[in-house]
Amino acid sequence: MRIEDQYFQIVYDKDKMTMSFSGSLRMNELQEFERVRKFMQEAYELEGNELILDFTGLEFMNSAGISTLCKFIFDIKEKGASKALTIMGKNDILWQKKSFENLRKIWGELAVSFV
Amino acid sequence: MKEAMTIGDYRDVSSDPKAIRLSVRLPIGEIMDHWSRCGLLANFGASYLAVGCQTQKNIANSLSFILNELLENAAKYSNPKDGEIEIALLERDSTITIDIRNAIRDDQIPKLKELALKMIDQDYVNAKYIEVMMANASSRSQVKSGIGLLTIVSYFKSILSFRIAADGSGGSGVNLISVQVRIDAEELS
Repeated sequence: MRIEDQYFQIVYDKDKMTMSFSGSLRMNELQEFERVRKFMQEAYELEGNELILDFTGLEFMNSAGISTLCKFIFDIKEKGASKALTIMGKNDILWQKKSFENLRKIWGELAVSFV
Repeated sequence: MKEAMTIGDYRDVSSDPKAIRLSVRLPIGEIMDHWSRCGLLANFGASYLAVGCQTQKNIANSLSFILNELLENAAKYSNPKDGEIEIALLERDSTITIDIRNAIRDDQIPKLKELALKMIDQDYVNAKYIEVMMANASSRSQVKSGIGLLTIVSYFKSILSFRIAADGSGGSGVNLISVQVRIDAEELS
C-alpha cells in the first residue's frame, strides 16, 4: 500500500506494521490531506497489534498536515483505540520534536520516539 | 486607512545596509496555480540564509518551516488575488528577520488586528495552540484561527509583529499587511 506524489511518498509495510513518510507534505487545504488521513485510518484498521508512523524520512510538513495528524489521533482516542500507535521522528528536526510531543497532549497513550 | 499602524515590535527592513538581504516579489496567481512554489521558495530562502549562520545544523529546515507557513498565509489571505507577495529575508549577526507583505481589503483589517494583538502575546499563544489543534481535530473543517502563525510562535522562540498601511498603488480599500518574524538563529536548531 502506498501513496506517491511528486514531492512525497507514503508506504505501508504490512509485515513491519509501519507506515513510512518521506519527502515534503505541504498541500494547500485540509481536504487535500484527507486521502493521507484515510490511508492512515485504513492501515490502523488492518490486523496487527500496533501501527508505527515513521516520519524520520519526512523533511517538511505544514500546519495543515500537522492538523491532519492531530485529527487522526483525536479520532482514535474518541472511538477507542484498538491497537497501539507509535510515532517516530527525528531528533534534529525541530518541527517534528515540537509537534509530535504536542500530540501526546491530545492522547496520552500515544507512544512517541525520536532517533 | 491613512496612517500606517504597527502591532508588536515591527522593525523597518529597508534600511539596514549591513544586513545580508534577499528580496523576492512574486505574483500571487503563480502560487495559487502551483502551491508547491511556497515550499520551493521557502527551501531556497532558508538555505540561502542558513549558509551564513555559524550554527548551521538544521537551521535551514526550521527556517523553511517558518517561511513556508508565512508564504502560505500570505497567498491564502491576499485580496485582491492579482497582486504580489513581497518577501524580504535578512540576516544580521545571529538575528534572522523574515518579512512578508501582501494586500488585504479594508474589511479584513478588524479581524486581522484582533488576531495580531493575540499573536504577539506569547502566553496567549502557548495556551491557545493545543486548544486550537483540538478544535481543528474535532471539527470537519479547519478552524480559521491563524493556526500557521500559532504554530510558528509556539514551536520557535520568535518575535512576531505586523504593519498595516494603505497601498498607494492598489486603489481605494486596499492595504498592505506586513507580517514579520524575528528570531535568533540559535532557536532554530
